[in-house]
Amino acid sequence: MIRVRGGELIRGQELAPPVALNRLVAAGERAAIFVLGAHFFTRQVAISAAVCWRDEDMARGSGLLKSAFLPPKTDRPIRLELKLPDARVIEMPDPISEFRPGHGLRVHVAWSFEPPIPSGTLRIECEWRDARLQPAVLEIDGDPLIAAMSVARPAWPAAGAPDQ
Amino acid sequence: MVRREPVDEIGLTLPIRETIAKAQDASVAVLEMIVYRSGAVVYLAARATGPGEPDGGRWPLPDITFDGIEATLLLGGRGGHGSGDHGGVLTFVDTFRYWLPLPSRRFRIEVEWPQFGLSGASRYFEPAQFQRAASEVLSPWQP
Repeated sequence: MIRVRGGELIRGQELAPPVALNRLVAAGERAAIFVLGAHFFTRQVAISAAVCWRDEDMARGSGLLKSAFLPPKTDRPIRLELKLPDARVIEMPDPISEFRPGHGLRVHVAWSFEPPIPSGTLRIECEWRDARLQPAVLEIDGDPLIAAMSVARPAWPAAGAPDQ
Repeated sequence: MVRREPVDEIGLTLPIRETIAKAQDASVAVLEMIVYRSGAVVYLAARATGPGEPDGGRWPLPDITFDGIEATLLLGGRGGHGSGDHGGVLTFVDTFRYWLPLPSRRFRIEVEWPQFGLSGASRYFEPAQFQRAASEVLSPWQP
């Protein structure tokens, strides 16, 4: 049994070939949410995002980020969901990155679901009133992701030597 | 000053996923780079398999350098995690996030991991690629 906590790019020992998305989901005066990329594994698809707080209000930002992510899921004041074309709803994941120097006020999260990726439009919905983020929706065309996944090969296969 | 990943820029992700160096029991790969207006984050992973130490310790981490460019480790190294036990053999995957200033010359990533007889370097990355990406970085707060 091998455990790895390596962020959104690693599951087990697989290094998934990612697809960059680089899209803004929502932005307010002080906070913003970006979707970063899609990552493909043999048993999982992961969509990663960054939740950011502007630098100049560090103390308040740090407190709000922690209050958004640390409580049990049912008590969190932030709603960050991925809705798939087949009506599956992936709730907000736990943060991947930790609250420590290096990431500062930037927290990475990743929604994970089992493949295949259903054809249609993926929707990311967010709402974070404490941060004065208005409810927002970002739509992502699933077809390029389906095409990318069809040719994706893990760099480190689950059972085998690292490969290029 | 503690260098942090920018919070007011989306950053432009350059998917890479390239194995830099490989030995029998270890390998190092660059996963992606995220380009910002003032620099880039380089995300790497190192995997190794070997006998665990009796005290629970393990082997040193690889030495990763950037062809003379001064890089700052943001996250990773000892923070990486992994465990396993198949007759005392362990496998660890460590991840690293480095901050680099926007390069003004071509560079490559160099890796030395003498414990595993591993030595190698990536292909060269060209500064134009970073300059082009930096010019496309978006920010929700800045024009």
